[in-house]
Amino acid sequence: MPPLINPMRHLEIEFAGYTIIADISGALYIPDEKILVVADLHFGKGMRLAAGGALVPPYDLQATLHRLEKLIRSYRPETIVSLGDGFDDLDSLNRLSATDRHYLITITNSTNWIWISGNHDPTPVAEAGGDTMNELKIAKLTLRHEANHDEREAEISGHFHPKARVTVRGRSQVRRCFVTNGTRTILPAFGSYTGGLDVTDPAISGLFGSSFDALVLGDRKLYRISSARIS
Amino acid sequence: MLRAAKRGENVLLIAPTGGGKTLAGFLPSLVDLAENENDKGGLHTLYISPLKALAIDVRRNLEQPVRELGLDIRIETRTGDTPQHRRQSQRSNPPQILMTTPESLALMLSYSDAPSVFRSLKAVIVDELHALAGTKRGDLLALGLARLQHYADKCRRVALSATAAHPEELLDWLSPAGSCLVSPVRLIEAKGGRKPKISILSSKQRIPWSGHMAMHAMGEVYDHICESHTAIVFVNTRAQAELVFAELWRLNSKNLSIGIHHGSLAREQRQRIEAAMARGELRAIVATSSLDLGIDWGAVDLIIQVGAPKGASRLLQRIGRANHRLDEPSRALLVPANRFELLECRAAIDAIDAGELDGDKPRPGSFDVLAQHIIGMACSAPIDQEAFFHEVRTSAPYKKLSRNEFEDILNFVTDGGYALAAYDRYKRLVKGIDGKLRIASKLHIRRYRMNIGTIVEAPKLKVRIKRGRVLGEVEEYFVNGLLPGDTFIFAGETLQFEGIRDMNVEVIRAPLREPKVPAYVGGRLPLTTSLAARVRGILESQVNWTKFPAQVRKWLSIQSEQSILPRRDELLVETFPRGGKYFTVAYLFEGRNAHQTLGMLLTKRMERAGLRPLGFVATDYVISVWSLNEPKDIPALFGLDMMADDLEEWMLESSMMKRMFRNVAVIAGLIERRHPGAEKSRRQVTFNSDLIYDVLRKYEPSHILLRATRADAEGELIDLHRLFDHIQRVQGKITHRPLRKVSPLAVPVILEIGRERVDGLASDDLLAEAENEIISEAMNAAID
Repeated sequence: MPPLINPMRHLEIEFAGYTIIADISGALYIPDEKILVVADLHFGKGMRLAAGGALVPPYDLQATLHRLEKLIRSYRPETIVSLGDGFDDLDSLNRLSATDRHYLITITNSTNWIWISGNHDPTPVAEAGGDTMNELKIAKLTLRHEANHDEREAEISGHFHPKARVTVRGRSQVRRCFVTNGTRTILPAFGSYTGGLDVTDPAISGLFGSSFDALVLGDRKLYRISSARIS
Repeated sequence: MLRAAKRGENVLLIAPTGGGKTLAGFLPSLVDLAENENDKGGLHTLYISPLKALAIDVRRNLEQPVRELGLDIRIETRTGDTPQHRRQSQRSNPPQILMTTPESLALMLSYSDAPSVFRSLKAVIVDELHALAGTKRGDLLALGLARLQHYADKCRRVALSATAAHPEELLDWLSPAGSCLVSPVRLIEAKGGRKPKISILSSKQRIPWSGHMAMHAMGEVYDHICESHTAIVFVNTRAQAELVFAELWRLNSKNLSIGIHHGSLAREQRQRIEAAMARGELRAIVATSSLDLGIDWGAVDLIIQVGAPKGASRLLQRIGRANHRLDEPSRALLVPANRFELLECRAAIDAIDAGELDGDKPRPGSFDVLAQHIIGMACSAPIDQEAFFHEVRTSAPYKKLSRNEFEDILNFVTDGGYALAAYDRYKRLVKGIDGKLRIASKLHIRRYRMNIGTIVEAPKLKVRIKRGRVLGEVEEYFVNGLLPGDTFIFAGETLQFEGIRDMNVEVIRAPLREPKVPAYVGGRLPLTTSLAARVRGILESQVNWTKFPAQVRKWLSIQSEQSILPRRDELLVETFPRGGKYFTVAYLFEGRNAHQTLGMLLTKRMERAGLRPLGFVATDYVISVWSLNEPKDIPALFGLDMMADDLEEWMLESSMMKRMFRNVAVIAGLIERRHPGAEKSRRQVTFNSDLIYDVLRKYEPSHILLRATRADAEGELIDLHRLFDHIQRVQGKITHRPLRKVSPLAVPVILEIGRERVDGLASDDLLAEAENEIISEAMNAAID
């Protein structure tokens, strides 16, 4: 059975010889390899904020996993790659409630799951299920946490939580987005409690040179907006 | 006052601004301190003002008579600006009289020495109570006063207020039992002096059909300034202030000193203007509501209100800023900016003549403020739940708080109050063996003190001249709408936006270009219910028209020939074709905010009905929607079925709810406020309350903070409820007038459409052109 993909809710991009799919949820799907990629899940962030005195609703892990489960049902990937910062810190798993931990491990065990290390989770988190790698190479594609300035090959990364401000007739909105220029793609953060960094910040725009496209996550659709239209 | 004080009575003194009412409040305290000179143990009188500047000013005004009488009384102020060492010495060795604000009082009450500091207190004086009661700041203060009463049960309460629509509510607010029937408060009403003399500018110019800037009348306004000693020119929005100020200076052939004052200007700039005004150096000052409250200036002899007053009480308060001698009437001049505003000015004068004030009844106290107060009290001493619940209920805003609500708020403070008990390890309050609740860690005390207060401002950015000084602040959202090269008027200058650098809006002076005018948050107040009703009344009966200029009378009579005039108990809806589209105009008179929401709901319905709506525009008086297909079944469009569902759906998704949730979350201590100066750099990933709102709405929709948010929204949507009541009332009485062309009464809203579409002032010429075209179409004849 082919994956059930709602055509309104994704954009196809030609990338390093692959046709890859940017989903409205902020995930990326590589059909040829049956790989689903998500970035910056930040599991356990709610708990860390609570430890700091901000008792935010303890539903962030649930909310993130619910969205992930929906994606798994529609794309039916064989492999899921977390592009780093899957955990908010190395102690996150221990702080989770038993129910949340069980839910998480059920999901990571349901497919071939790969944790790529990020700055928040530089070493493998034991008992989280899945395998841990520093980066993952598939043919000409490299998947890693933070984009590498010197990279010549096609690269998919996360880390920056990109968002874009789009201004139309004096009204502006800020939305999460993918950033891509054909050889480099940065994913938006997938975690429920993750803020963002503006794509015009040199930390992001500096990686792309003169021009790039932002694939902006709308309420019902993804929009491809060129860097010239972003303020 | 003195007799009431001798008897230990609580007193509410209602008097127009000025008339020395603030000093009258202090008189009993001075007498008491003078008579019992040996008994100088500790703090005697606490004065609380909504404005820091007022606290400082009142101290100065009080120190003078104290010195002249040779009294040995120490008077000090304590506000957010008071240095740390001074605050500490105020706690260890309090002055006899202390001037402070609601936030500083809350902070003082959160220290463990609060019982000893306040034990000796004999009197609390609350100034400008009308501006506090019914707001979140008022809730915080009411809870603070309940705690003060607990430390000093004989403490007398005194409040000073401007004339209010519901004095009985203020009496309850002040009562130590939360009800003046249980614990009485004496009401002293000072005679209002002579009735103010209010007139409407009878402009020789053509009165505009739409717009809010009243530029046509500035020449005549300038003449009135020339004839007066000192004038305050009140406007409704900061954008208006900037334009009026610029225009008056353009006309200023006599080089009079005219100043400007609004909330966005840098504090030093505002203080300079206030000081110049106090010294009598200014002939006029253009001001927004930032001058509605505050220091008395005796020399002001004329108030000019530019634009519609929007409410009788508000107008009266502003007029009270003139002429503080009770033996002479205040003089005021109203300058309507368009024809509907002229009707509204007339309605406001009629309301004042009839002694009819407007103002909403205070709403119940907010849950988020109570949550903040609970933390503060736990910082000071362990909380006995039972006693504390009763103490809270002695304050009027929380008089009807249920035990369940109290428990829910307490649970929120303790561990977030989530159905999923996840935060056992991170509890903020822990129960001791004595059953009392204690603060769990110093972390929470620090957090509380950093985040105290109920005013959550929209994020702002400083406006700075490139390589020069800071001019003031503008809301971030306004800057987000600017592109480099755009120009706007700010602080009386035309500026060109260059970019954002280090959290500053960098600008250069651009004197020659036509500006794009700033539009600020909260600039436009909705029309009050009673004024709306009066405007409807004026329209209905031609007897009322005699006071209007001929051009306005002609406008109304042609309306009654070509269509009909809206009647009080019906809803008039006109439809007409224009430029290939169909316009639907409904005359509801329920205020811009409510109309805007209705416009959104109507568009949705028209879409479902296949009418292909293209857009809508709302004014204070009407809503107009335009569509490609002709709407025929108007009663169905305004039918009540499903409208409530549509509204509910819209509300939950709207950015208004998210903004309100953010305020609630900050006040309740869920997330920390942004501190100016300690702004995170743009590089750093910031945490966003919208994310919490979305998750909470999905996983725990009945959480106490969402309930608090909805309650706030209710308060803000009062005019929306009014609107629904109105639509309900007129079911079956909707008069649909299908017209062949635009009616005279519809012209103003049709012109607004042009204004919304074309940005800035440069379009005025275009508009004038379009205006003449539409007007002759409506009136069938050349006008003027």
